[in-house]
Amino acid sequence: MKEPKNKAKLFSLKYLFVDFVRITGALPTYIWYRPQIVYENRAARQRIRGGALLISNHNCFFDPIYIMIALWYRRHHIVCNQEFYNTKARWFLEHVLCIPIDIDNIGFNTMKEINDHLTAGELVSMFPEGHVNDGSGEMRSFKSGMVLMAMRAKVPIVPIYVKEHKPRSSRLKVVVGEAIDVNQLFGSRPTMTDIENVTEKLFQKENELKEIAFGRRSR
Amino acid sequence: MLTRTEIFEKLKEILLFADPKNREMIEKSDENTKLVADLGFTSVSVLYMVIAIEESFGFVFGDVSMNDFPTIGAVIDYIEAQLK
Repeated sequence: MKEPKNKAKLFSLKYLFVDFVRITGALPTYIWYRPQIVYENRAARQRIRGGALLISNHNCFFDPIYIMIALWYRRHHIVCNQEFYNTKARWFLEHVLCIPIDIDNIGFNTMKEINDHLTAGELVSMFPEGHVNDGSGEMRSFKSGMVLMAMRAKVPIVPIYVKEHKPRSSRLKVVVGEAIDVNQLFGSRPTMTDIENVTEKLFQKENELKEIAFGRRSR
Repeated sequence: MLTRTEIFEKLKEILLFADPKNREMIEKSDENTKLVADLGFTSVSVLYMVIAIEESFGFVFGDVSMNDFPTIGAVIDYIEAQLK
């Protein structure tokens, strides 16, 4: 991966609350989940430097925490559904760097905010399925918006698969895939068909990570 | 300063590039053509259009959302206002 132009600030007063949550929550979380982080290959093991868009399957509301456990060393923002954001949890979500998005009526300021975070060298996590999946173990089809966002900010997409954490007493397993530079997949401006094809590739990649998570495919 | 017709033509080019499979519908379109109902746009298509408009016309969309642009005419209105 290329050396990033921008590097996110590690310490800042605006991050005081989220840092407090991360520090106080780290030990109990690690003890409870005993996370097992699996990497797709050697390239996936490399530290993510600069901005990147993390995408993951969405089994439950704890998925953002699971992703943070997998990439604890970086500050990152979570894109969450506006309906979920506009609840009593709003203050908390706002201070743990969530970005609300209205899936049915996307605001362009939201897109700009995501773009600004990415270009500033920060991580943004999102769930391209749009909603928590139905629990059947199968992922919903992915929405293509993430490809556009990554292309606009010129950052790679890092696919992550979180194995459903059942039973609750079991170890948490998260598979981290190799970063995919979507910008290198196109010579010039892509068409919508190109973007849909990349989305399909990312969906297949998630399924490959799923096979690794379930031990049905070797790394 | 671009005229309304020039903006429309430029917008058509963007739409044709974005979705060449929908060429016939886009070429027949006018200012009253609905983006979602007539051209079959999804949220991602609208987002694509917005990014392409920003790059082509050189401004950034402000505090507006997808539903603020029901028709091609509404998009042209917005571009025209931004270019003034």
